Amino acid sequence: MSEIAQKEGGGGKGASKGRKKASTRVDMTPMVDLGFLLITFFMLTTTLSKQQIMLLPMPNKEKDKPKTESEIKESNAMTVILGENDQIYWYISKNRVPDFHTTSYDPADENGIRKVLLEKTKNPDMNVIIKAMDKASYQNVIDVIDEIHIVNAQHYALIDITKDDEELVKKQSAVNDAASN
Amino acid sequence: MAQVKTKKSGVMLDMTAMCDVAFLLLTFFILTAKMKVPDPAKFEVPSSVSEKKLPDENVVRISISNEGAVFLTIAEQSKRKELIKEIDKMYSLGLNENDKEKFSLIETFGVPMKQLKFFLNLSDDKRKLFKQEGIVIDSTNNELKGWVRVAKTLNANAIIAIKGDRDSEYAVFKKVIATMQEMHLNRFSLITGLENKPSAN
Repeated sequence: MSEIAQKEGGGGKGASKGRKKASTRVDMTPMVDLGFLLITFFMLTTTLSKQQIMLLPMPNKEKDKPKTESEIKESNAMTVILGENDQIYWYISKNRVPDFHTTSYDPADENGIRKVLLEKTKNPDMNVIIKAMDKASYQNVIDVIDEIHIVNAQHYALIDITKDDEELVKKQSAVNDAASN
Repeated sequence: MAQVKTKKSGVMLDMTAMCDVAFLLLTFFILTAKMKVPDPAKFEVPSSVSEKKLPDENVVRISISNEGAVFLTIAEQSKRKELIKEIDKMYSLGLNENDKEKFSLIETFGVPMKQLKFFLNLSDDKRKLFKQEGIVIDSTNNELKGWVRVAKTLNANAIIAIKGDRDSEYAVFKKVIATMQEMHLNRFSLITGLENKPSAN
């Protein structure tokens, strides 16, 4: 390489004389530049990591229906309701009103859904039933399933919301509004 | 410098080896690369702690945009070609070979059946700008069911992945799930972003 440098320093005189044995070496620098440029391009356009997935098994619709509240012991079913605007409620008892709680997605919150789930799923027979209202965001649904995975709950199901539950949510949000005012 | 009479030492290095490495890496990346195709709508996935990975092949992906439009993605071009042939027959869309060829080049799409021909006839630039309103998923006219059923018959091993935007409404997701359940597809893979698992306490 140093030979080339010298030759170029000579201003091409040597070449015009044609006596010096011409070196076959080529300056590779631009080629390397080009190579790395293309590498960078391909690295950036490649989807580097595969996407994460979360498995969601759903019960078969006709056969082996999921155990609903009526079929499992009432004290073993915890219902989580997802409302609009990131609202989240839960209850266990059937005569729900005094037992109907508003909670939050915040993992740091003392009364947040994670703490509640952690507490309740200490009972290994506890079934968590998730009912999302139509206005709930997809993020909320994933968050709750995620929380269930985090606390390692064994039994959970995603079930359509009933009219009863919607009524309860309405009542509760009215109470909450009144409390905040 | 001239006074010291030292030879001006060339600082040039032999780049050949570096060049070899660069092109070796380049070849590797080209061969393993799969181009990121821009999505026709915004799908910002929520994050979860799950660490399972989505396989590259045999995936029928249903995406829900933030506006609630439903899109379908099939990664393999050959599968898309078979898919459109069957769909064309089923819904008698009257697509010609050219349309089908074009369809096989589109990875993610979300247009109603009746718009499909028009959509495929657009020029590439216009198609990118075209606002796809999503696959029809009404209870009376559930086209998603048709798409997925055909995709599933062509590839029985395909898994159903759902990629929902975090702001999309649960109602759409519920409809998609219900549609799949009607076809006895009960296992779903929800695509999520990565989030670190909080320490158990």
